[in-house]
Amino acid sequence: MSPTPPRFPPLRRVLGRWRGPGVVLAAAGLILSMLSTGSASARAELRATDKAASSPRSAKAPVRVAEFVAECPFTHRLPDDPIVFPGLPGASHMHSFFGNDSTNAHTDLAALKRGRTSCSPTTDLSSYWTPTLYAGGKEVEPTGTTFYYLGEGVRDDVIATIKPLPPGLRIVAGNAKATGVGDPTSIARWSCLHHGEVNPSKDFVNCPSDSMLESYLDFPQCWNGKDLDSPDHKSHMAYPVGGQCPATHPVAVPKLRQVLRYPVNGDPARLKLASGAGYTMHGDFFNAWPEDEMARRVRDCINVIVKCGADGRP
Amino acid sequence: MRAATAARRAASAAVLAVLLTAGCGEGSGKPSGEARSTSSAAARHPATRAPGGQATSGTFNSSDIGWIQLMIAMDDQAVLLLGLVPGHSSDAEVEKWAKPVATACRGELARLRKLLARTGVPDTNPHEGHDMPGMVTEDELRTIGRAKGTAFDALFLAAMREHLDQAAKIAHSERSAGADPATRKLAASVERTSRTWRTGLP
Repeated sequence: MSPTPPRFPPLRRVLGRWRGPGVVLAAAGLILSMLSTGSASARAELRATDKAASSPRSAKAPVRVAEFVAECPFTHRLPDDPIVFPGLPGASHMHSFFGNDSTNAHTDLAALKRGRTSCSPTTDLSSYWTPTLYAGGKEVEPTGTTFYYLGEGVRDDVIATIKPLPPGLRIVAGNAKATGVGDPTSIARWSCLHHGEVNPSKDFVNCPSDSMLESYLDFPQCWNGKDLDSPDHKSHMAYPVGGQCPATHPVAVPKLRQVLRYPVNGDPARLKLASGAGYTMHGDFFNAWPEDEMARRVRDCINVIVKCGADGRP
Repeated sequence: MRAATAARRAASAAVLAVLLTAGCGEGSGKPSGEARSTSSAAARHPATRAPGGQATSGTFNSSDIGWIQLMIAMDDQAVLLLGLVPGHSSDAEVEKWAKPVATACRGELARLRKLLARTGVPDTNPHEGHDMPGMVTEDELRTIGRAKGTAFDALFLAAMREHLDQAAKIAHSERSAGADPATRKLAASVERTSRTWRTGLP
């Protein structure tokens, strides 16, 4: 397993719901966990992006975070894309693959089911991929590869109705065609591990020598309830609006948050993605979780807002 | 250079617009205004469920759509490269080879855009700025555009060789991976002509 994953996603959630009378011990435990595992960047992130939660009013509520995770180290590189170029090997820019080690241009759900996985838990046969990162023309693969499945992004009453991601669902997050850091269609976010003083950006950031470059990417979490893919590979999914899923995409599903940590820092001028600048960062997901394993996690971790680990247990 | 490229693209798009039916987009020079969720074109042609869950639009599967979009992106760049030959090359053989290839390439683009219009997927280039295998990149265009004479010819021929090899390879896959009969037929034609031009390369 890679080093302790960043806890900022759950922390934001926790602080957001830290209200009313509750369990002091749980709160104390939370503070301890913040001190031990919460990085400087995580705390800075809290200050920067969650103003409302920056000062807990009372340390007395149960810790509640709708989350389960999969840690899926890098497996292989191929100029293939089974979503955009199915059956057309070598047609794509270079991708780095995580999780299922069989993914190639011919991948479908049946093939993924026959493959092996780098993921913990090993029940996750899904495939995850991103454009390959190059530093000075040489490939750099992330050594931290955490895939969070979260309830956040919709209201609590909507979280209670979140449905499992259907087998075979394809999701693409981010915009490979983004035109600059001012492009609102870019949802890329680059930051520095343990160095929150470096402001996150849609493009690469200059990380200190004792740091690593981090990429955060949130996938859309509202499904149209019918299609496992769409002709533009995006229309069957949507982002929530005002804490709920739009009528066109009424089915709330867990939000996939991809967190990658690259062993690279310093001058970002030598960095390049196979898709171009940092703001073109995107992620692809092909769901191959066994239905029962996914359903159990959604029931036991997401719907009831409980933080689970890779085993899908609190 | 980028502005000049865009201007040239706009000009070639204008020519294409005359050649093609209305509704044909300008192609690769367009800035991205892509919506995050629904697209009206996709709404007109809702995805249907193929056995494997792969998206389809009418008679087109994802391989067809991916191939058409990629070939448009690649041919757009190849046309720009071929356009550099007059005025840059010093080899009559190169000029003689490039002229009919440029004409055929534009014809291929017109057929590809007709197919794309039928898919209902918008004519925006999803591969712009990407380092796609075999594709003539903006950087390469800049570099080759600065070269003259034999230096130009060497760079030009190397880039065309890569383009044609990749075009033939992907077209070959599309012939079996695709679903739409007209698209598969065009793929067979692209594979054949790419191999022919490649063989005839000076």
